[in-house]
Amino acid sequence: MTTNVIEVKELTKKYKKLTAIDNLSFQLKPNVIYGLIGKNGAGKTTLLSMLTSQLLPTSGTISIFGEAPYENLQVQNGICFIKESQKYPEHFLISDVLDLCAHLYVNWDVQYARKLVTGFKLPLKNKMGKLSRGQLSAVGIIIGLASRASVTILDEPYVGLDVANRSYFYSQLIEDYANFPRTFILSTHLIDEVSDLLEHILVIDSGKLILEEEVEKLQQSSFYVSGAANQVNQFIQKYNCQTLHSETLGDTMTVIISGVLTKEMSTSGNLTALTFAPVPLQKLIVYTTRAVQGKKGVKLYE
Amino acid sequence: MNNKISAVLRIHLKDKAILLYVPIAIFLGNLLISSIFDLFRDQPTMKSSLITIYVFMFVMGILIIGRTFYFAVGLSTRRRDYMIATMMMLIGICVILSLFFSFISLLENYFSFNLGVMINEYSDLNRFPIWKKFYFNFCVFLHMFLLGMLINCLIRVFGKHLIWVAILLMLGFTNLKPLQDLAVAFVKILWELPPVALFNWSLLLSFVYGWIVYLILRRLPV
Repeated sequence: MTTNVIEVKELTKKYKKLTAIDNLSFQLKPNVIYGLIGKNGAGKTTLLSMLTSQLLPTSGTISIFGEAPYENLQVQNGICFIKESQKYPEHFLISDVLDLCAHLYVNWDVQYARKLVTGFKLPLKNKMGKLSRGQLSAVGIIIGLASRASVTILDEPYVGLDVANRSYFYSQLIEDYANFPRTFILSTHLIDEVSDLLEHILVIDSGKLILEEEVEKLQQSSFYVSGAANQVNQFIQKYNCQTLHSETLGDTMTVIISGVLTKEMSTSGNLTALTFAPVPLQKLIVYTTRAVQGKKGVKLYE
Repeated sequence: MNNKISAVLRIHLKDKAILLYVPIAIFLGNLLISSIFDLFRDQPTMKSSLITIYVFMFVMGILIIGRTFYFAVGLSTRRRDYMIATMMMLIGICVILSLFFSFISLLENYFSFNLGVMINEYSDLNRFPIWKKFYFNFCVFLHMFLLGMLINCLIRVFGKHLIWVAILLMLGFTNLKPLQDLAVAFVKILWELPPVALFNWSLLLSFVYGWIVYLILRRLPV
């Protein structure tokens, strides 16, 4: 009996000369919110499409709930994948799509779907072809959340949503996750907006998994130190710190240090003018991935 | 029947207005326009409404994958369930339309006027018993729809290469004598076949199309 909800081994997807996914392996645990992060064209949607059998891999294996997902009814009943470019028949009303989902998803919650429709202020009797980009995203989010699927995958779910609706989505996601724990995979660009939601991140670039870490551990692994340039340099030398990134403005220097901020460091006797702060997740991912790719030559998490 | 098959059937049922009512509307519209023309002409207009419906079924076969496949499979439906539900819907539609046009054909024979369900006013098919007309219509509707689906699938797999193959074949058939002879021999064989044998072959060919469509849909990226 497997404890992982998803297991991916040596997964590769090639399109003629282009390798979209390159020998990727990872495991995802049940009841965790994962963030799949990467640049445009990094291979996020390709990976998610393969996980849900919408795209067949060139090589490698995928196992969901311990079984191969392709043409597997039991596995498909436990998955809900909403793409950014999710296709809906244009002549269907929103209510038609939601009624249909009640048949497609075995754990569909009608009451909750209605609540979300009200929350997003969606016109149920409007045709899908007449909806704005934000409204289409809202329909996708409603399907994703109300499906209550054991593995819910949302690919850039917020595209076109305004700040208020994005905030409503995040609050509903965390509330519903608390009530009905399940595995979420959020593919996203707005890292800072969802940083409070994510428990674990996977960063992919050019089809390769370049970082996989718990968010809490990642945030504890680095910190900002800023102050007079000579004092910051003194600090770095004293504690033999490895820097992920540094910026200098006049006499003031700000550095992102790779390592845990100890009590001794923050109360250094002769370095009182230094200020320490946590690094926002988005910046941390940017600089960490650069370091992992070897651009800064820094070895992480020592 | 699992939940996914019933869901895909519901998707198709939303399209029943197009698949069921439009052919009947085309038939009635064609009949109305032809009848108006007849008022001003000495000879009755050739009403071949049924042929229009065959073409309509072919076009719907081409369109159905774009209209429903990506939506259904995009929402965690197995390709096998999509195909089963689509075939169930297709057979249902073909049976209803065939019954309708067989009934119209009965009226046509009874009242001895052309309502437009004759393939050709001089064809032997018009003298067929009702069950044979039903079987004939059913075979042709099914064949045309699945042929449309097959062409759509082949275009999705082979893209513009398929158009080049079609152009080369057309050039071959219009310019090369051996190919022309082959085509003539093929048409001759079809012409000499008894009508029921022709329907049987058409039905068999429809299943071959359906099977190829399924094999393509199994691997089609969504």
